[in-house]
Amino acid sequence: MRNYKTLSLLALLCWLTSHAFGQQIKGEIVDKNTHAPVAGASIVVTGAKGVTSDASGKFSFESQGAKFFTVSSIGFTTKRVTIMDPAKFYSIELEGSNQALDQVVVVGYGTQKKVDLTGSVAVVDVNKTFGSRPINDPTKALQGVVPGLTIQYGNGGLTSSADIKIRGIGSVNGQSRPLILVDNVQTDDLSIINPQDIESISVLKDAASASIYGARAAFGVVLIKTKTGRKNQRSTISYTDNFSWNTPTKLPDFANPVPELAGLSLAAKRAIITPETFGMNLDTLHDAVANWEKQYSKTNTGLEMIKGQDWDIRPDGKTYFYKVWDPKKMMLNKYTFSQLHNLSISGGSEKISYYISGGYSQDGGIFKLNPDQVKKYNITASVNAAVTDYLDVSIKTLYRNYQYDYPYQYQDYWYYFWRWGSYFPYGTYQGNYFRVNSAYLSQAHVNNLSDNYSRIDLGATLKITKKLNFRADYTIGRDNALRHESGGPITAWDFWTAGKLFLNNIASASSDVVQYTTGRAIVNTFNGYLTYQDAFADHHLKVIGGINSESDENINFFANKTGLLDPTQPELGLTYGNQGSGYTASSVPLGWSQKGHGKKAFAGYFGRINYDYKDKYLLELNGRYDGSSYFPPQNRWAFFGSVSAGYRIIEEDFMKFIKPTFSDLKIRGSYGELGNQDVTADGSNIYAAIMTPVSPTTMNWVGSNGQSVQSIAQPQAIARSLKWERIRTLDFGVDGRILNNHIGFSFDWYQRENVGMIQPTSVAATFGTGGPMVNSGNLRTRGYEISVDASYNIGKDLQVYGSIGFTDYKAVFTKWNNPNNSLATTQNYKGKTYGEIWGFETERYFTADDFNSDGSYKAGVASQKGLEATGNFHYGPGDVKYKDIDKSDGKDSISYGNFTLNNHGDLKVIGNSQPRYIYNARLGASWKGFDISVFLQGVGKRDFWGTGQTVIPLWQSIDILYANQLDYWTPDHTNARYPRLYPGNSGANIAGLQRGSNNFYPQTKYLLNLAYLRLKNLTVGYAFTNKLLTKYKIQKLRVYFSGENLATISNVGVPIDPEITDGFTTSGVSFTGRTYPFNKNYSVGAQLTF
Amino acid sequence: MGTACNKYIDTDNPDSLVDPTFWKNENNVRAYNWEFYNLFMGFGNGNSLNGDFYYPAFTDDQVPAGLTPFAKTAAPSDIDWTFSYIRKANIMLERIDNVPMADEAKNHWKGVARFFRGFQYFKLVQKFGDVPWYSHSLDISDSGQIYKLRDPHQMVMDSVLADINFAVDNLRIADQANTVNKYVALALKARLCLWEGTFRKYWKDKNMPDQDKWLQEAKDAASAIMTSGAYLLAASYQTAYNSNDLSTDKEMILFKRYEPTYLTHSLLSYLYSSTPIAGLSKSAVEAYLCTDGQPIGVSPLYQGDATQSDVNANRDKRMGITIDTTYYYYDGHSRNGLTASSGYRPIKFLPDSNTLKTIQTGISTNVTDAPLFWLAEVYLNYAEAAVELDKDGKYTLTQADLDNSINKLRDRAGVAHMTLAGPQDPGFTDPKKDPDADITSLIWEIRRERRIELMMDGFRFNDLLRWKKGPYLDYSVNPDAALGAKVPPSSKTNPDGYVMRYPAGSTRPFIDPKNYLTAVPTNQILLYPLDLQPKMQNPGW
Repeated sequence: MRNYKTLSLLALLCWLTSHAFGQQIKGEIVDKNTHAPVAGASIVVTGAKGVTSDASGKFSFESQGAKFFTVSSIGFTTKRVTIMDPAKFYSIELEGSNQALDQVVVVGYGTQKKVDLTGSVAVVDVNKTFGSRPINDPTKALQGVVPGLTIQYGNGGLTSSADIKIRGIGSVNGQSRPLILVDNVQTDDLSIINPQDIESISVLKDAASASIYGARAAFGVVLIKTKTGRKNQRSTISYTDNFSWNTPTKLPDFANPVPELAGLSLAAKRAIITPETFGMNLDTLHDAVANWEKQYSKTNTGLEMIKGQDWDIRPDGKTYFYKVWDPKKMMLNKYTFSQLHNLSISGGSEKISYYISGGYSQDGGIFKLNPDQVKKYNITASVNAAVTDYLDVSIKTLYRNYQYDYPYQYQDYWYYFWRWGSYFPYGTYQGNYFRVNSAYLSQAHVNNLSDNYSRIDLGATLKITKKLNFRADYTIGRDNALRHESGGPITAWDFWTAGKLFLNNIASASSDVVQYTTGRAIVNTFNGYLTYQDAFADHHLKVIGGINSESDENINFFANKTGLLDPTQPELGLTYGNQGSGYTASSVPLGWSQKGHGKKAFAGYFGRINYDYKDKYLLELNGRYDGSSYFPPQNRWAFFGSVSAGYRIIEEDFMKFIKPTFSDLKIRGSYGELGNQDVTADGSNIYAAIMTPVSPTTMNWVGSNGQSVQSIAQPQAIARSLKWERIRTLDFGVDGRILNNHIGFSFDWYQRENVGMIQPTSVAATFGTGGPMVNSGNLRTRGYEISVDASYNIGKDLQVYGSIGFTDYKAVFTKWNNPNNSLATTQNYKGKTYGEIWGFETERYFTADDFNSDGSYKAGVASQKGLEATGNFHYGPGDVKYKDIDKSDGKDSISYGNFTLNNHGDLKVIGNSQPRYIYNARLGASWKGFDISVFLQGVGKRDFWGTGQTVIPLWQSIDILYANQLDYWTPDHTNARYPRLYPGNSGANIAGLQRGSNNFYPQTKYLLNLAYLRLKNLTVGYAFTNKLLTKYKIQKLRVYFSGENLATISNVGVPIDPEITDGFTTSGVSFTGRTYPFNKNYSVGAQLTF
Repeated sequence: MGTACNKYIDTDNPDSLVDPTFWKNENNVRAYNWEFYNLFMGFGNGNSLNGDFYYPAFTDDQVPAGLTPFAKTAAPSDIDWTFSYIRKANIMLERIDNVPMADEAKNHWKGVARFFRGFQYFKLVQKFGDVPWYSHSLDISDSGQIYKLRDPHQMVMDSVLADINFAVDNLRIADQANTVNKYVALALKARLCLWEGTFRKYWKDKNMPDQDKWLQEAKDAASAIMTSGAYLLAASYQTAYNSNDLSTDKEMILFKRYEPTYLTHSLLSYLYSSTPIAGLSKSAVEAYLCTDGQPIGVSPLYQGDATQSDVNANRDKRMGITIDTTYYYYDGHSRNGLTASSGYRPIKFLPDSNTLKTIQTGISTNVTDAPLFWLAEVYLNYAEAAVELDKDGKYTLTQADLDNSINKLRDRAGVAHMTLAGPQDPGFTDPKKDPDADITSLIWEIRRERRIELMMDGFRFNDLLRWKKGPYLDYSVNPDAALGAKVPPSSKTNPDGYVMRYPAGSTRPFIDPKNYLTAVPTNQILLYPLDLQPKMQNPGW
């Protein structure tokens, strides 16, 4: 409560300044780091006398014979200055207090001193996280920064969205996303914020900290405050920029086609299928490509392909391609370019403060032909004005324009980029491409999505008494999205129909289309709350009470017409075809209704009481009476409460002995319960008995008008007992600072339980409709978080700092209704660890010794006959031998039982897809003008069963073998990474198990290892010293180099980035890795402040 | 909390319809109701090959192209074991009272809901016997109800009767054109009461009461339609089966309309395809009378079956409409790429020969309308209910009863009237008559009339079921059901020269009582508490 005392003293002293007398003390206060003047710092002299520094950091006061004075300002360590020589000009440097005891932390509807926190709240060091990084989306920068806040991207595309979770999965329903608030307004998509506009970020992890936000905060809160101007602050103009060059971290290599085609041919022959691709006989092609390499590889290096040399039509009419390309060079940019520019102006007088900023960023995509591109403009402006002594008003606006340009998706370009070998015709003939990716990409229309987001916040603070004030904010948010897509004809040499080569339109009829998707969202938010602070002797009390409401309406629709009259003018009115069918869910932004028109509303009455006794015993009570339109209509309001308490044991007399070492030590605990309203993927209300229109295709009655009648289906069943999921969090923590405040640490252990997790029921047909959702599951997450930070000054100029974060958690189903204990991936069972992967243990490859001469298994060798998928696959030498774990079946064979917990044969848990042991470390130093910072981030353990050709050789058919996949078993090469080749391993032979068959059932050997340690960021900067710049009134000029993902330690098992889990998905099968790659970035930038 | 705040969050996605706020007016009720009409299969939908007509395999009338034995083991799942329309109807009944509309309208729509609930239960009972009866929608917590033992056939059908009586009493005389109305309800009532009355009568071991009450209800319901004057028999027997538009056909009480773009079927394209069509059996063809109203075993007009023209001579006109009497189609003896299993190729559903050139032969292009309830069946129901009541001594059948019903069908078919020579006596005895003492010659002839008139119309299996005559389906008991026309002897004929679709010795054993009812799907039974499971299955499975 020191802060409070300071504030009240400050208020009192304002009255007294005019009566000052005695010796004049003068000085200036600057930020030790930035050398910027600190305005509004309070200078207090013992005996209740003091002043504040002016806009340029200057101050003066009458000493009245005092021996010392203290200088304090929010965000800085309070400094005590001894008055030695009254005539001296005091140049006082204040040290940023991020690591200091009186650091103030933003919490729900207020702030709190860090030492007084009783809940689990982590604070992001905004400067270090966003400062010098080539990142225009705050989410990306937050990855790995806060222990317990996991952010995962499945691919490295420009529009890739993040999976954000606090403390991992909390429910199998919905998204378990934390509530993300920007200036107290829910903001699902953080990309609307310019990272440079962020002032502070707090992550509220336990129920006690989050419960003031009610049911939307069941899985924690990320609380972001944007910058505003400060009163009594000198005007500053700062400009920052960053220019970045990006290149993929890791990509598979295409193989030399000669050995590749030999391998494909082997596989085809083994499978007894025709060894050909697109009519080209693999063996003939093999020889011809080898010949081309020998004869022509040096001569024709151009794009145009010479008939008879680089390709040919053989006498049998089949088109053959011999020329070997470097597909990556042909299709991908080696480096893509991004840039960021930000300009901000801020300042403040006695009465008015302002902050204005503008940002621009541009990111280029990786495809060489028609690359995609994102451009973003941000503008924010805020003004605060003290209208009277008791009333402050503020207005804040935020505008973001987002533009994404991308080629029309005739096909998934990544899927087809990786699909065929380097002998495929990337070049042209007579100036026209062949029917491959390049043909589509080069001619595709540029489609675009533009999204305008704007927000206006009107706020006022009313100081009713010195102890009581009222704050109100009304925020209007608008989002308008417009997507324009059009296809059109693609002219290329079509060699797909064997026998002849046509110069044709190769685009499918459905691509002859123009479509607009548009939508609008309105979010209106009101927050109003009273804050009361008081102290009675050693008792300190702070009470907050208020109301919060949010209404949200989103509308989106889709227009589509086929038959472009002029493909270069793709507009709805210029078509001759029909109106197409509806949009897909993926074109709707997160949180919007997928059926066209969504409405939701939330409201709550909240309150918090903080009480402490002597700053030693801390107690906090939170409560919210919460209403949500997502809850059942008859039951939309509920009370959620939490309690937390802390004990600053350091303040006890008996702990005096550790004082020399410890400057703070606190133990704390919290418990709270919240309802979870986020239980559907598509924003529909599961508590409502929705009646869907009967699809016209299933309505079989023609009415009297001669057309199909339109009907409405019966309402879906809603269980009478259905309630929201209850999320209970118990958290224990220890915070401390040691060694003269140089080292701080924080430890949390928590248990979060989802009690009554919602799951669908299977019910007998007599019920009359599908089983409704019921609250029959429990999921328990237990974990811990450790963070340590340290900073130290060595000598006068060298400052070093570092921090480490570590977390681990595991979610276990403690209850789930699965009577047969089926292990199918769509099911769960009591005792299941979330994310577990079932599969076989790989023992070794079979050898000839395992088989009798007739091909049957020798005695003692477990038979795998039952695992042979369709086709001509039969296990033999060079194939994977799975380990016979289950000897109880007595059948001496590899089996999967009935794939239940009680009978799963030789299957076992081989891994877990959830990240474990997540850690980060930051090390930095500054010396004179130089600074360096290293940010490392990693995951200790994570497994993944990847599917598709990129991770499993010949997953589909004889499409391709990558360079790394040439390491396959042959009688002469038995110690190979991959078994004897066989095409077609994508089967789902064991129902419910992840896909893969023959040699590639999910198994230990080919399980991907997604653990990694990554040099996420390295920044080296130099700030020119003040003296050099004063001539130009430049306060600060810093230039830096910043690199992202510069180095990675991982052992995935296949050449893809360890963070990639996405891939093109078709018919439920994902082709892992066939997606935008992750990048490493090299960037330079400058920061300039006037 | 203030109502303002309650109101504030009291919102939902406008793009979804939600129960119960959906129930605002009669139009919404009508929209909800249409889905029930999916229960009427007619000629099937789109490319499906499972309409009520022609497709059923288990009859003695048609010889399926491939031998179709009864299932040996219970299937894990069965799409007909569904209670979804039951729940739909129950929810409708539970909501109607809250819809602002006149009582007359409320009663009409309750009548619709009960009509379809009864209709669906009737189908369930015919297929599965005992089924659980639900008169209200369930919550998932009502596990005692969801997983209750099946209610007895008797109780369920008594409830169905209450439903259909309510429908008869409350449905509008006419709502919209060709929708469920009072007469449709009466037609369904006649159909199901005859079915249930004869079932109770012939399944003696079930000891079910009220057989005559049911027969009386059937007779009365049929009579109400017959005397209403609302419907008239069409001039041709075939009109009901091969018309593109049945809306002007006065014989139709309810029909299923097919229109290009909106709803089509594939019956014609199937019958015109090169697939071997399930032809009529020897048993069926021999059931057709001669024009004198006598069966072939009695009539002097019958010429034998040595040649096709002999078979056709002096026969009921309906035979020539039902099968192609110009050519025998069988394996190795096709014409225009068409063939059939037995020689007797069905043509009843095809457009007449004048329009053969413009027939709709593409899959999912056929738009001939399908009869669902029509006067001919009502006559048959009337006659049979009357004759059974007469047999039971509850009614005295008169010549007028026959003249007002099936003799009208005979007029149309060019067959002499059936005349009463005495109680239960048509004046002759068919040598092929079922020797069962309960079946008098008159009953035999009236059943014959039904079989002929409704040939391939989807009634036969359920008729045999209620008469407890499953063995007719057994090829070793009734070999004629597997045989076809008499043709020049070959390896594909039996020693007497009749087309033999299946290899000699092939049979289709009918196991009593197992094959009368379909098994309750085993995956469903497994969901029940262990102690109930053994009681959930039908006998024999």
